[in-house]
Amino acid sequence: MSGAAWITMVLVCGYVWGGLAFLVSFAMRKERFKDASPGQPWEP
Amino acid sequence: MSGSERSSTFTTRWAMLLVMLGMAVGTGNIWRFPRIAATNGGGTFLVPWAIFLLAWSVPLLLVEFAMGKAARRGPVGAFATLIGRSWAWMGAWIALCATFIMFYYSVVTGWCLRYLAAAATGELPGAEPGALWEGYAGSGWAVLTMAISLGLGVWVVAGGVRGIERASRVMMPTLLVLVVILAIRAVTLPGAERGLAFLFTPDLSALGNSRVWLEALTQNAWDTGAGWGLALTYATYMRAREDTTVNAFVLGFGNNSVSLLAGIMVLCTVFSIRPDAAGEIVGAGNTGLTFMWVPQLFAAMPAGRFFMALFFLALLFAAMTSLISMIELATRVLVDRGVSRAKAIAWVAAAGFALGVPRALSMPFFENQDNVWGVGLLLSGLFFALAVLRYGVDRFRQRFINSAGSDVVIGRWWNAAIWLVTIEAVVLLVWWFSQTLSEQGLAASLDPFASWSLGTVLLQFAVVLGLCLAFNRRLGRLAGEPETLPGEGR
Repeated sequence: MSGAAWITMVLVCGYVWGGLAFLVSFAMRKERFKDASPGQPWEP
Repeated sequence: MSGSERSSTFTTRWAMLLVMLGMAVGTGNIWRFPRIAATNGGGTFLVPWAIFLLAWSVPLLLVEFAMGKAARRGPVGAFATLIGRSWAWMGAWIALCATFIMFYYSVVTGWCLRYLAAAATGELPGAEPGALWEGYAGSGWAVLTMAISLGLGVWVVAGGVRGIERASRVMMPTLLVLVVILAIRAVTLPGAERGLAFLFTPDLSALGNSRVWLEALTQNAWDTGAGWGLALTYATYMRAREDTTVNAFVLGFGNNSVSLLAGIMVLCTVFSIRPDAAGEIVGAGNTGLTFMWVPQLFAAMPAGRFFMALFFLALLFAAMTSLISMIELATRVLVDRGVSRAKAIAWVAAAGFALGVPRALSMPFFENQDNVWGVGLLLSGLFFALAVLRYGVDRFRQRFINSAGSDVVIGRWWNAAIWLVTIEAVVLLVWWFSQTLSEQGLAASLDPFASWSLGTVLLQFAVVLGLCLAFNRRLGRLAGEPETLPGEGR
């Protein structure tokens, strides 16, 4: 594979899969807060 | 959580996301994305494809999540409730489009079931490539597998939200694991790096080719299910405290993650086993690639029959979870109209079978419906964007998207994104129509009975839109009161 292909692969996979991983971990943190404070209305 | 909320909402955020992902991930992720990426420059294609995830899919998913959660009604009732009773016809179009797709998607699910059975029993790969397909597609056996698939989907939907959750908890994690296993198997084949190179090598000069951008936009439109009304339907079952914003992003990125894995899986396999025929394989169309070439490709690898069975199991689960969402959408619209859920499911099942039979028996008719309602989905996306513009983009964002429960505040970028979605939808529709005209010539493109023509699209669109508008007043009666949540109106 050429250098350009490697760079594209890292960027695209990082964006899609890395983005998903970040979003899921962010959602897990927010969910833990909601579970810990069920009476509090969540304000973003 | 009240007793009634417990039974009518998803139990957890993760269950909801699995169900939503099941809706989004379908056969298009596995058999269309690899082909389209390969025939539009690989790495070049991936750039606009990644852009349109944020410029089409996520903005529309945000609309659907917000509308479903606020209106607690299917597409018709949601449009009537939130946008106005006189706009119910748009929701009806969205619902009918998805329902017409359901009529032939059950046929597709049946194909996957048939091929899974063939792979598991050793019937595949046959001595004659494509022999199984030639004897099966369009035959009474395709009707049987369509009926079985539809029956399984109806059985799941009959279990309500809990039934759909239970099915998704089994099928979606299995599907994801299978796709990962198959991708790992593919990249470890000798010569697989040629497939990776083909998929990821960019040709920056090709980024100036408008067709690449339009194909990337179309793939996003058909891949994520954004703008179909299916996410809206499932969003009616979201808990009151449920986030709208981050969940829409997770769904979009999750769907595209599966597509990327599938692209790696398919192209690495192709370039490892038959690099000489790669062009022919990716140009063979969805069914050609999947039902004629895939068996041959797997036959040539060690433990190929095992991996082929895994492939068709993954494909079946992808199709089934999407089919379930379509059945649920049609059911929900009838329930909103006052029909009992049991009766609604029975009517949907009966219609699904009766109208699935001709699509199972006639490949030209199947292709016609696939083409027509594929374009119809672009109109559905446009209608969602127009609905938001009609309501007031900023007002919609403040009231329904940045509602209590949302994990993040969506800023004004989304306002611009909705205008962009509107323009994109119009451009796509004009492009598809002009492409048809230029490829077929005026006379042929106006043939209303062709598998693919401007004439058949216009005729069927006119009939369906005419019916939606004619019944608009009755449809407007599905309107209710939007749900008021604490802290609303930020």
